[in-house]
Amino acid sequence: MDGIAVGNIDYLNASDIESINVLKDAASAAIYGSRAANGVVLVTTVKGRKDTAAKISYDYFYGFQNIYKNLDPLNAQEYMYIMDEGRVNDGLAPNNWQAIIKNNPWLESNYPGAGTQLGEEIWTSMQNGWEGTNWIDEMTNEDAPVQNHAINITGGSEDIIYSMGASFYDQKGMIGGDITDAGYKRFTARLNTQMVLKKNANHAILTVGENFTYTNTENRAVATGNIYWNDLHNALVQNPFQFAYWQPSIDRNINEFGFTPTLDGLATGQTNPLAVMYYRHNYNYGKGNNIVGNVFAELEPMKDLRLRSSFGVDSWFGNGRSMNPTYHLGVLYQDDVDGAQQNQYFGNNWTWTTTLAYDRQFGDHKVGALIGYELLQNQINTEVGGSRNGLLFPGDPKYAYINNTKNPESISDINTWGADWAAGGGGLESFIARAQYDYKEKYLLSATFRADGSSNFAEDNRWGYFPSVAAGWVITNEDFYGSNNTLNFLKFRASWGQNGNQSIPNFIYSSQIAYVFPGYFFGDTKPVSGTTAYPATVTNPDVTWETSEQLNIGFDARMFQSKLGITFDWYQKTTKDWLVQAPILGTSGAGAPFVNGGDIENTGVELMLNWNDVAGDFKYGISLSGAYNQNEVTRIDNTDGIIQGPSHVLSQGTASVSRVEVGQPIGFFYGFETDGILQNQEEVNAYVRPNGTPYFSDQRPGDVRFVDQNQDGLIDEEDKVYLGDPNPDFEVGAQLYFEFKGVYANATLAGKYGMQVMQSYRSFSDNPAQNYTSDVFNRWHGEGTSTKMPRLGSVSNRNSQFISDIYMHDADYLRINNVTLGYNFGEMLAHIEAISNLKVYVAINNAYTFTDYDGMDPEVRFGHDASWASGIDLGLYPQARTVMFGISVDF
Amino acid sequence: MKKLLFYTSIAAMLIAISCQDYLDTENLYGKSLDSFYKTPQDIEEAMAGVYNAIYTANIHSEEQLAANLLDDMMLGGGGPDDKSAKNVDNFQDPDEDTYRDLWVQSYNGIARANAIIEKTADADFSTYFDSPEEAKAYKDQAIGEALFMRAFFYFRLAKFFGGVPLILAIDDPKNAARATYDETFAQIAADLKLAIETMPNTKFTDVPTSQYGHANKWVAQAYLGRVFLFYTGYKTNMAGEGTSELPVAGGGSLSKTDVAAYLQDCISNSGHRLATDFRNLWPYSYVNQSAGSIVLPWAEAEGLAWVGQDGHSPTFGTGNYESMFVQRFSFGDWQWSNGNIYTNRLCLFTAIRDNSMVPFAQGWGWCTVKPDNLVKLG
Repeated sequence: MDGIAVGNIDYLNASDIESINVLKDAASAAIYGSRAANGVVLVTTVKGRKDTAAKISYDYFYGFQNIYKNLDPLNAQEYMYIMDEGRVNDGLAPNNWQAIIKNNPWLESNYPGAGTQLGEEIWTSMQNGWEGTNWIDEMTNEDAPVQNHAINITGGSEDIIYSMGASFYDQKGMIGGDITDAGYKRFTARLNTQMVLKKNANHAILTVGENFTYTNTENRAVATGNIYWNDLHNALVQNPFQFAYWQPSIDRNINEFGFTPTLDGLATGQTNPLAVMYYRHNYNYGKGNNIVGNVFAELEPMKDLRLRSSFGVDSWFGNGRSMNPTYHLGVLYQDDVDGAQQNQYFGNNWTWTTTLAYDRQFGDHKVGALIGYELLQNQINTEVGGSRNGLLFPGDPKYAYINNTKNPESISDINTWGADWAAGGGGLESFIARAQYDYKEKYLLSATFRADGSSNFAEDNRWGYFPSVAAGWVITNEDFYGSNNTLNFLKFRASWGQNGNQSIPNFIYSSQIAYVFPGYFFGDTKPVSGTTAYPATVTNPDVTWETSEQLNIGFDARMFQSKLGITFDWYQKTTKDWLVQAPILGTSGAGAPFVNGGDIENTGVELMLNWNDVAGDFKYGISLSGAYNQNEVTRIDNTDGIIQGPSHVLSQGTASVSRVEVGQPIGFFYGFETDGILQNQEEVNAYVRPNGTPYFSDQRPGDVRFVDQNQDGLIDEEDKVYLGDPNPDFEVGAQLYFEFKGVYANATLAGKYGMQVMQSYRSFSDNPAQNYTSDVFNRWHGEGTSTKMPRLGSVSNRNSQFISDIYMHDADYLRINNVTLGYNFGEMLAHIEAISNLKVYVAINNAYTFTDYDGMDPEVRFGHDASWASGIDLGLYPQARTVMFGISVDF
Repeated sequence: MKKLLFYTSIAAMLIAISCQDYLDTENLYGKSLDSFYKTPQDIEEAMAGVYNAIYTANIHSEEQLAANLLDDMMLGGGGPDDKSAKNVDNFQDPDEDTYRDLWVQSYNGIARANAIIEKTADADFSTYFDSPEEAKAYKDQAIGEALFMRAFFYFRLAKFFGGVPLILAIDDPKNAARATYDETFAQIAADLKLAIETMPNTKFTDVPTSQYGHANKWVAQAYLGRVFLFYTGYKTNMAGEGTSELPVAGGGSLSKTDVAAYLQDCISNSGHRLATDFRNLWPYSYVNQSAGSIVLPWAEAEGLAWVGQDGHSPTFGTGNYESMFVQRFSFGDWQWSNGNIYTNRLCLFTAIRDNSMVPFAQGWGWCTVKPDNLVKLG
């Protein structure tokens, strides 16, 4: 961002951004930083222009967000039917639902009469046709508003240019927005100036300037993630019998907000998801701030020689507080201890960059040279906080500060922490050199060399060296080419280069000592654990830079008076010495270290076509892009050549679904291949081992037919194979633009093809009472009813516990990301001096998604605990469709 | 061009000035391998870390419970949810990695012991003690105890898995191949022998109460006896390669006479002896005087008095001279506030199901005694 390396640009408002430039090839990324292994996105904030009058622009939009596509959990009657079918399939009697619903022992014993009353009210409602609670509907907020105000001022005189802006963005959450006040608020303020202090007739001698952005954010989230931290998932699997709210809860002082307590006759673990979401999120109040910016001076003592030095800061600070409330909603969901917590944090990194550049034209030869030095230091990264139990104003979050708590009764009522993660210093240091040569703009050559040092590695492994070279040939500038109206421009490009990645925690090469509690109980005082410590991770003094090496060959062309633009690229990108926290061996004796765990290769082609033309008053543009990518892991640095993903992902007790293995794409899905469902007794009898005996003694119609890949008569680890790939093979994009006499329309489309998603919403084994979605109606329930989804069971069985392709879905999609229709008043305002421009528009984000995928959204990046995994759909935070109305006016 | 050179050299100087090492970092996050194992307090904490690896999260990895379920004396027991206990009892193993925690925790203990053995050797404790002799005795106890614990964990592994990969130093490769049964026991023997030779001759009766639970020279001698019996018994009866020699890594072996000599030393010099009344080893012989009334009437009638868990002068009990090495547990409660893996789950899992009768609490009824054994005993 304006030359400062930052992790993301969430703190910027779109109106602050002048341009975003993605540098994909290694050679052009090389100059921009020691952390360019995964490419560089250059973000430039809005700058003023020399000799222009002040321009004031104001943008506003207001929109409504709705869940684009929702899932459909079973209603009460469907739920009973399906649960009973599982029992009957296992030879058990159907449930006595009336008895189950009326049996609420925890509630009955704690609030005599309430357990029976709740059960009877539910049962009576159902007898009268009540279809149960749809928890997703209860949780979601319809027409959640989003709005944005932004004001920008730019201008400049001969020696000074300036730009400033302020914005306010306010988005309500679709999930929990009206229950826990979930949402996101952001205020930004920005100032960029640049002034020439000394100059002579030919050139500026001394220029100084600054770019600063301040951001204040307030983020009130809901849980989205694995099956234990996911509010939407909770809503998906909650039984439909339970009322969302129940007046006697308030009347009998069970719960002040009226959340219905747990129906523990059905399942003690099925806590009201609205209550979980409320108590987990409603009492957290956090505010964060960022200041990102730099000041710079540029000295040009003689023409074409520029010495530039800039000092940048990236700082963050904020505070949070939360109230820990008391609640009693079930035997497994109660908390008797309330308390308050507060924390504050402050951090800053500074970057000092100095470059000396010389560019000069000697006849037909243009040469450029640059040397530079960059130093990033971790200056401060501190957090202090504490909590104390026993609120003086129980239940009122307004008073939830540590001072408003009782004097502690014991040491366990207090918790404090404090650290400065940057106190030990460290950072990044880089030396950069670049040379460029250009002959008549026909032959272009450049070479860059960087030496980057990172304190994240042990002393001997700190430095990485990253060369790159690029060459271009503009064939249309050749004398022999002459002029040609068809092909206006053609440039061949080739580049090769390396860049580094060092993003691991500091001192990971050694091992911290972990203090654990409880530890061990030496002495004679049994309940009190002695202080206990051990090395936290396996040491890896050899860990060093990950290097990404990239070869690009391509061309850029413009044809037909430059109306048609073509860009083509072939690339091969190899990530070497991939930094990964690989799962450890059972013999490791401590936690997993970061290792340079392997090599990954991406090969692909990208083609981009754009066409812009004007026909009278009609202007239009079309831009199409297509990219094919093939990903393959070529080396894993362990004996098996495998990194296994986390277990218990799709459901408790299941094996891992993702894996990294040599010769396969990264994070591919791994498990049993199935060959349909055993449809009838004949097929059951035919599902036998090579020696003629059945694979499973209890196999029966409706069971999955797992493929015995090695024909050894066992369905075991040896039979697990590649099932699918979460990475797309082919990506397409399209942008369309039309304008006719002030009316304009544009549309953006994006699609991905050739990827799969692993989907599971239920935890079969530990929570058999969890609800299904209506796709359970596609289950096998008699010959010919399904070839993919097995029979139901009363408890989990191998059909559900074995990770197999029955969980896998194709997730190809094409999405209309945005459609905008607007009107530009333009010339109509010519006679109004105060307003120079006025636009109004209506836009729809995520207008439509063409896909066969039956989940909420086919774009699933979630990968559980493994950074390299993706494509696991557990019912994640849904995509919004947003309808926006906007206005943009310039003064 | 002169000017250009001039400015270039200024820039070069600016860069050169900055060439001090900005990448040096100091680890202020907490203790690390470089700043740990320096003081007796560090060693206390690290030793507790070694013992912490005795606990296993998965119940089937708890040595006593796993061994009892697997043997022929006990059945799975438990209730309908406890299918896994029945599977283990029947040598059926439908779950992946049933005993993984036993393996992983043993290697955690071994790695932590390796760190103490290596790092303590270089540590200087002289400033923490009145005399160099005391400092040396402390160091010897620490290294010897870590050697013993390493042998303890390898013995635990060998009992369940046979020969296992031997990792004997912090930086040893963790993907070592599996050692043979003989190699594994030779390493156990070597560690125990060195532990015996290293640890001071502190009599059991001189061990202060605060050190109860720690292994010492006598425990190592006793374990060497067990290891000898286990190894020679296995070789003779299971492998059909009769032997009465326990190999020692690094050369040589221990004969029955050698081992007996260690045991004789233990018997004569440790200060340990058998409890005067066998029944006094169990807490149900406890006369709870502090409760103000006699809680367990038979204890008074029989003249019993619980000797306590271990140690010559425990807070509870009259002094247990018999128990040499006792795994320590914390109290358990149903909130698991201490984590259930730190409680004595052998009691919890095997106590009578759905019945609580003084002095036996209620449990989950695993490890029911096999009825035909009862008949044979009867």
